[in-house]
Amino acid sequence: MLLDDLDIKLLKENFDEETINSMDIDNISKIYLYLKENGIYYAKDLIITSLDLFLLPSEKFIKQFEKLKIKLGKDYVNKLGEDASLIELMYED
Amino acid sequence: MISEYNLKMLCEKYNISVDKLVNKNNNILNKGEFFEIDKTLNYLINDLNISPSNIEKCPSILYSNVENIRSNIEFLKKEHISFINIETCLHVLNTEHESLIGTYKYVVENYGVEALNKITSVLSCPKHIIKDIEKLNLNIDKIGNLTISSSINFGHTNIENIQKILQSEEYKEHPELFTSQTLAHAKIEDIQKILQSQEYKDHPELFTSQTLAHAKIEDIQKILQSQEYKEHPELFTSETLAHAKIEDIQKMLHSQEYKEHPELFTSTTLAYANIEDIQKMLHSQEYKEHPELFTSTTLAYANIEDIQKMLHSQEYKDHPELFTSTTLANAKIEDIQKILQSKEYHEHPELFTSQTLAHAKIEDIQKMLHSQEYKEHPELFTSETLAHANIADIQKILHSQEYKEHPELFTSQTLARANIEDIQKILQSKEYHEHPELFTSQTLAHAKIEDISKLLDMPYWKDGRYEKLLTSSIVAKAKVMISKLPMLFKMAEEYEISKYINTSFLLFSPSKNYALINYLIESNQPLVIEGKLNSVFAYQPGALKSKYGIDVKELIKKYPYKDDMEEINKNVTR
Repeated sequence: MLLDDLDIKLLKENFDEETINSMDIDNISKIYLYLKENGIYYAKDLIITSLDLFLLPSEKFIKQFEKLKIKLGKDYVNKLGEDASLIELMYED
Repeated sequence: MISEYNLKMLCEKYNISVDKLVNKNNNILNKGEFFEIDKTLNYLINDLNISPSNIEKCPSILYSNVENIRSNIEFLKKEHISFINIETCLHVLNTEHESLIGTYKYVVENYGVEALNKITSVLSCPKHIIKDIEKLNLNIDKIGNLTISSSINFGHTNIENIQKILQSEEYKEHPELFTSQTLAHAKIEDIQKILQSQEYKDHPELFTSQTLAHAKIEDIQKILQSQEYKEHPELFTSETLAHAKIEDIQKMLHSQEYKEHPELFTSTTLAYANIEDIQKMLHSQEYKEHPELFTSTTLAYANIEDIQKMLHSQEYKDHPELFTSTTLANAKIEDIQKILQSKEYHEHPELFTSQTLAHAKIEDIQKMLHSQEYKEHPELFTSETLAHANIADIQKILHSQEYKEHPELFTSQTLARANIEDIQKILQSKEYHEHPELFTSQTLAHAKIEDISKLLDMPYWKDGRYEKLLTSSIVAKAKVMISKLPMLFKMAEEYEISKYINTSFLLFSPSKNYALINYLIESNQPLVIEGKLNSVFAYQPGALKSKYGIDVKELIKKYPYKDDMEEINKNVTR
């Protein structure tokens, strides 16, 4: 997973410098790999719009995402791809 | 006095770089004595196991009285000051023993021992300086008094400079730009030049308290007028302006290494690294064998000597999975060895990840895992807590009234990322009492009440079109939303879709939404369908490409939103 100049520009529009600087590449890579394994082919888009969630420890993110999968049902890949706002469900404690 | 030849001989004996010593402080040649230096180096390296690189950073330790150093070390060890902090702050050992004890007692009594572990260098400062600073009643974090005292002791500033700053118009108009760092390092004349400059008027977003603390207007002007800034504005942030010089940036951006690996150069690399160190790294055998361990952060913060020690260590051979680019960028092999040899690692290996190795110190981990709080709430202690938190802050959180009343808002992430003062400000705020549903553990971990308050004070939430769009995730991202929302709402109003925008529209960047609007208009497709925003706005760009063949990145290039956004950004920052 490589962020190009345009990805970084979009990331800067979506998040403040402090949040971007908190990125832990290893943690994000683990989450990215997990998402890819779960068929989320647009995983990089999720990082750009929801970087704050990628700051969660990978184990916690995975736990929350598994809950999201249950809420969205079998077609979760398409549902999340077609309605970005569904990621909001991951903010619920 | 010692000759350069004799000093070199001694340095070779202890594996220290004579060049680094003399370049850092050539007083060592006049003030040092052969046998005294030998005795001190023997004590520091053979008895205390202090790494040569820390000695190279503090040559004055070598012309100090070794008995005074020994007394100071024994006292600080007895008082449980983290030895790692002393090791990276060797100059405190030069302090006259009685003065060090006086300052130690005063700081522990008035600020707590944790403050000393954070600002160990204050130990070299006579306690009357701290008292003088306290009398100024500065509107900063209490511990900032110690940062400023330490800076006065080093001669970076003085009481008169600080008083001038506090009485200035600039301080009254922009108090947010004045932190303890600004007061510790800047002069009012330099601050005035910066805040009155055309550069500040044109790019206020590039000026933070850090810029005021560390940069000079002449250097900033050179940077902003440079060809390099015009060609790569994305590489220049307030951090770059605060820490880099244009000559170093130019060397970096014209180097062969930048041409071959532009992905390794970010604004942080420009702010903190120099091209000579980067060249050593990228031409090393270690880089050739493990390029995956070298990222822009490694280039910005690490040096090749430390990386080599790490990659040739037994620990790396035994546990390669614990060594990542972040470990290389932030940790030292000596600290990692202490962690991996500890009883705590053998008892709780699941709490030790590459993150722990990269950010934590064994002394802090031990305090955490032996605490009463860990015994009572082990579920709140994860590898992230060990990596980023310290036990004093955790204790404050878990003993607070706020934790007792709202335990559901406190997760291991809150413990790892937040501090009790910020949490208390949030939970005691008018905003929390009026909208408790907008506050989750994520908000406590990431947002600050000042930003939340600004966000909730925005006029949009009184507007029927927008009030339903205010969610906890928007509040958790309050800081960026303050500048992003005006752009998005202005865009929505201009294209007459404000009644229809939804949460997805706010999640995406202004550039992405703007490009899609223009694409739809140009291809004669409606922005609104059956009373709802065209569903393409809610698609993840990857899904849009896969389903409809629409390439959002190409659209952003075709319909750039840059100028308008910069203008709004400036107004918001002002």
